Amino acid sequence: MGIWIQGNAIAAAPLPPETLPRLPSPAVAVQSSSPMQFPNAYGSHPRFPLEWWYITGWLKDSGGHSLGFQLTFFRLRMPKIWANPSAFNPRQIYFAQAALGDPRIGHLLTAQRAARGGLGLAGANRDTSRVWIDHWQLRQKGQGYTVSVNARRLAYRLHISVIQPPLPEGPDGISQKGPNPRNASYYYSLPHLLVNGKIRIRNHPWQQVSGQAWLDHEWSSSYLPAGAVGWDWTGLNLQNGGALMLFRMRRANGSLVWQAGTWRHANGKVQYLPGSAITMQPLRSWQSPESGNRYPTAWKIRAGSLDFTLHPLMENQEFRAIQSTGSIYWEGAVAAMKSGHRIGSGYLELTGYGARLHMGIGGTIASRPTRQYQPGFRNKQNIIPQPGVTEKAAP
Amino acid sequence: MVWRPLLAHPAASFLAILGVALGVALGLAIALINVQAVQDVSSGLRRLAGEADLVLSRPGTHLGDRWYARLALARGVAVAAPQLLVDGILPGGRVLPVWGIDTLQSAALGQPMALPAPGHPFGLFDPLNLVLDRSALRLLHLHPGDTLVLQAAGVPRRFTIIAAMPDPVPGKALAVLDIAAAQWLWGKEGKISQVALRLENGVTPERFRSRWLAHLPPGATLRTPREEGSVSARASLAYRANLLVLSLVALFTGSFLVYTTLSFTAIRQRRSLAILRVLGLRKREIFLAVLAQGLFLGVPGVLAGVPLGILAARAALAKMGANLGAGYFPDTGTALSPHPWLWSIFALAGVGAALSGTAWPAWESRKLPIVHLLGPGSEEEGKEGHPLPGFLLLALSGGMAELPPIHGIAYGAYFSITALLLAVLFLLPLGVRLSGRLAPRMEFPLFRLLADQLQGSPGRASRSLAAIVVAFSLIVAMAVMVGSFRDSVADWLRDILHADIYLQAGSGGQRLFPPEAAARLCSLPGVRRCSLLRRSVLQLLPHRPPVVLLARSINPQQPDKTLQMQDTASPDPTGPPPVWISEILAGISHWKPGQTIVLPIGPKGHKVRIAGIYRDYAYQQGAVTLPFSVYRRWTGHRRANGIALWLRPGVPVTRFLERVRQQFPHSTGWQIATPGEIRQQSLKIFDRSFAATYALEAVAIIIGLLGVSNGFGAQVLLRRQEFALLRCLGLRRRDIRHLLLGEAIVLSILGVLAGLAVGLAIALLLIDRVNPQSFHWQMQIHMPWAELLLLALALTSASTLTILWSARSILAHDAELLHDDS
Repeated sequence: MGIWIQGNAIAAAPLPPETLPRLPSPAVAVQSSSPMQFPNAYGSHPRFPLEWWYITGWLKDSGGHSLGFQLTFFRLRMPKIWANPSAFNPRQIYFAQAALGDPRIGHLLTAQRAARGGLGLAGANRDTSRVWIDHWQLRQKGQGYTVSVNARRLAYRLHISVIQPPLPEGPDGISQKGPNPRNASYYYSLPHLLVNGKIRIRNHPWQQVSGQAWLDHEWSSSYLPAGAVGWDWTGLNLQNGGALMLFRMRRANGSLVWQAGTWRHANGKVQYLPGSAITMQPLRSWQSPESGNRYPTAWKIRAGSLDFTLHPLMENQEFRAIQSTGSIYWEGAVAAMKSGHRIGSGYLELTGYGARLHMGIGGTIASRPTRQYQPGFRNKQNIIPQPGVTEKAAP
Repeated sequence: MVWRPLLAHPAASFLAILGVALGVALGLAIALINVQAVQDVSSGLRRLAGEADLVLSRPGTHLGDRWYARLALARGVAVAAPQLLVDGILPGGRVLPVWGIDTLQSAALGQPMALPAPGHPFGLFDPLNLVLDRSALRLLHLHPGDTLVLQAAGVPRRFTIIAAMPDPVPGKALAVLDIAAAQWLWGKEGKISQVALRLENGVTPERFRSRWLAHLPPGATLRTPREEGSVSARASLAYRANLLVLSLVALFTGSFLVYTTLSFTAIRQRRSLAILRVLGLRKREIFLAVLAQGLFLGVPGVLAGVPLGILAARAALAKMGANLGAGYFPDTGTALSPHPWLWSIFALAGVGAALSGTAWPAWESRKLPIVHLLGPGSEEEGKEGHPLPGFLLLALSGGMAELPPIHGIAYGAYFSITALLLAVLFLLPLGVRLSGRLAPRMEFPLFRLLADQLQGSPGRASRSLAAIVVAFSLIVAMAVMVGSFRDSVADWLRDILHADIYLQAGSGGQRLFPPEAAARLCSLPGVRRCSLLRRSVLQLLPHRPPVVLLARSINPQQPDKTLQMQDTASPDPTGPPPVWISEILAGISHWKPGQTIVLPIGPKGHKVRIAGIYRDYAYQQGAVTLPFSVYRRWTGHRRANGIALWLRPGVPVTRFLERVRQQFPHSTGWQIATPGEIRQQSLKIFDRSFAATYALEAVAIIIGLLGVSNGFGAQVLLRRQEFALLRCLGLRRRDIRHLLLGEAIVLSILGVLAGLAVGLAIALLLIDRVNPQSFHWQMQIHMPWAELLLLALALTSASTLTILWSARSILAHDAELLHDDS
């Protein structure tokens, strides 16, 4: 009787040993000995703990109304990865955040996605810029990109043409984030992108739009500079064809840790601006009725020989990304004005203005802080709740 | 005028109120438990599904994870969340359900198990972290931060509890971990249990389903969470209907009690009513006044009965769970939520029962001529009812019994039982008179008095008897039905348990023996023969819960060596492989022996031929038995859940088991039993599942006895003048007591005999109609004669004693009898 029970025709999956094996964590660093290089830079860099693609821009609909749009994909490499053969094994986690700013609506329409890589449902290509979650994607195609987003409140299908070469946001494509050279990222931008396509707002019919956008692609492994809680960043397409990127890192009390910028003149000459060449002064602030956060939404700025003020398309451009990265920030369309004339337009990002650190999410986790939730996770202000990794190391 | 007559006899009125209260309480308690059970199951399923519109699952087996990928990207899907359900074995062998989830997707669907850290799900990405719900923490006396050792696929793993979450299903302990960890630690790489889907705006579940249903693997279902709940509710529908009918019967008995009380009150007050008529009150007003007396008994009964019912339901739920021991619902303590509409229904039913008990006496009191009422002796008796309606009801009852069931509920049989009980009401006077006539004519004066009394006023006597007849018939019916059922189960167990030792891999139902264990067990010295059993579930019928698939060592030529066959098809060696289906499955599916069906096993399913139908009481949802060799060929599964061993003659079982324990150090979780132990255990479970029935019977007996005592007390009261007259004629007080004793014995026997007859008829309806139609199982009729005799004797003496007791207290003051003019 026992004979026909021997051996397994279809073996059940083997069970792992008692101590669950882990995959080694690759040592990666941003350093000038390995400068950023194209076309490699376009693809994803999965060995780095953190990477994102950020498209922001101004659109005009068929009625001539101005709109702001944003689409961000984040990739996080988990700090610990187990040698689990499961297709669900959380090696890389992807987040996507999309927003449309329409002054007639008065606040952002937003949508979010989060997924683990695997089964083809979310991922990023290594050779070109292609990153996706389900049907949301940013895809490099020939001399441009396509962007598609489909959600209840908003949807876009946009074609983006590249008309200017990539702009490395620092020497060798390395953007220094603080006094310590470890705090740095690989970072390039594509300013003056031409956008054509269609959008859907809520359940209104699709409408044609066109405009100008800016793409950031950045990856890193280093820390947010010590003491910093957030940053202010802006990227502006200047009307003369130039491009300007500025960022500054703030402490909790608002004082400055670091600031820097890049100005590509209309003639293509790139000027890296040290902190001493920049002043950014808030002109007024706006308090969010939802989160209670107070954001400086208008600024007076001097960068090198440029002098202008920044004004938002509308005050309320707060993005509450509770369902994906768990952060609350202000990310909105702004116009650069000088003596009553617009000299450029782009986006402004303000992070770390929320309530101070929340120790322990959901209350119950606080009792075992070290194993599961590392300190970075608990800072609700941080865009990227990633331990041991730069916070969005200001573009 | 309304309550004075009732207040004059507070004990009788109190008993009537108590009867209504008990009836209402019992009915309400049963109904509340039923509703709560179904509500818990279906709302639990809905809550677990979050905002999902549809759930893809394949009951009893797994889906490949590519199905998740396909559906997640399918047109019309907004969010898709996969889940893998596995069993974690706690130290001590108990099973903790473990849900492997993808927190990111579950959170997007608003599913409750994704709650612990919205937006920050990374804690769960460590495969040895898990989240327990509050019930599990309470059950295990653990706190977040503690560690918990769980056996995953037989390997103990040390998990850290990183958080607590509210119970997704109230009262149900469960653990949540990452789906990747569940696949890895449980050896289920590439497998998932279900996918919850939220559809895009404007896509209806129906449309999506119609597009996908044809492309799904066999046995897969795509249901809305509501449908999942209703499928589980439908499975237990017949059981719940049965219990509800039983509980209504208690109320019915209560209404008889009101009838008994009020008909005597009405007769007693006929003269005063007649005087009122003379004074100018109209017939209609008198009718209403008597009805109001019914309300006077019904309303307090309801006011006491409703809270009593709620308390009883709460206590039963806390103690037994919504299950009531029947196995249809998860065995966990549940809290009772308020159901005001159900309360009102039973309050109305209670008042209705009281009013219907009043209607007949009220009608009688209004139709009699005044002159007749005013005359002397008018309390005694009017014209008693004609038996014709009784015969008509009997015929109706017979006709109703032949009706087919509707949606699996034996409405015809239930109506037939009701008609039968009503018929008794009309036929009882005839029976009493016949018994008086049949009594041998003896010259002994007391005897003649007795016979004359029975012949002369059969209506009055039968009124006192109605409640006891109804109560006893129900007891008999249940005793015969339960006895037959139990006997059939015992017989079936004897028939199928041939082996010497039965081993189960664990209590978890789906647990398997280690790969080599079966082979080693079967080759132990002393083993003559061994047989393997692999149990799993299969989604075989649409809109029904999955059925049990039993793969076992069985000889296709001689299936009756393993199963209790009821019907077989002629063998067809060239046809597809044979399977045998249980009688229950045959009843649900209407499949016939010889028919070819498709079992949803593997990617395409397999054709099989139904070789026969066998008796099975174990799986209420139905079962299919398949030769193990065929199952192994189709699935590649070689491991078993159960092993039966036959020992060589002369090998002692205890010695053999010692050897098993020595050679299999991991056998502590195994369940090892001899056929005797299995029989005993099964019958214990059987008895527990009839716990609710026994409670109902007890209440019916109490109400019946209350009715008898009420009826006779009133009767003796009415006949005080008669007794006084007899005393004057020279009868001693002792003689009158003997007369009453004789009457009591005769009437009690008559009541019990009538109850026996009606009860047997009802038992036949239950065995032959209600059970096959509701549950699709047959049983042989088995008369528990000894039990019935005992019951009959007990009830006869109880009712005799009740009669004597109520008579004695009234006759105590017989000096005043002649003057009494009440």
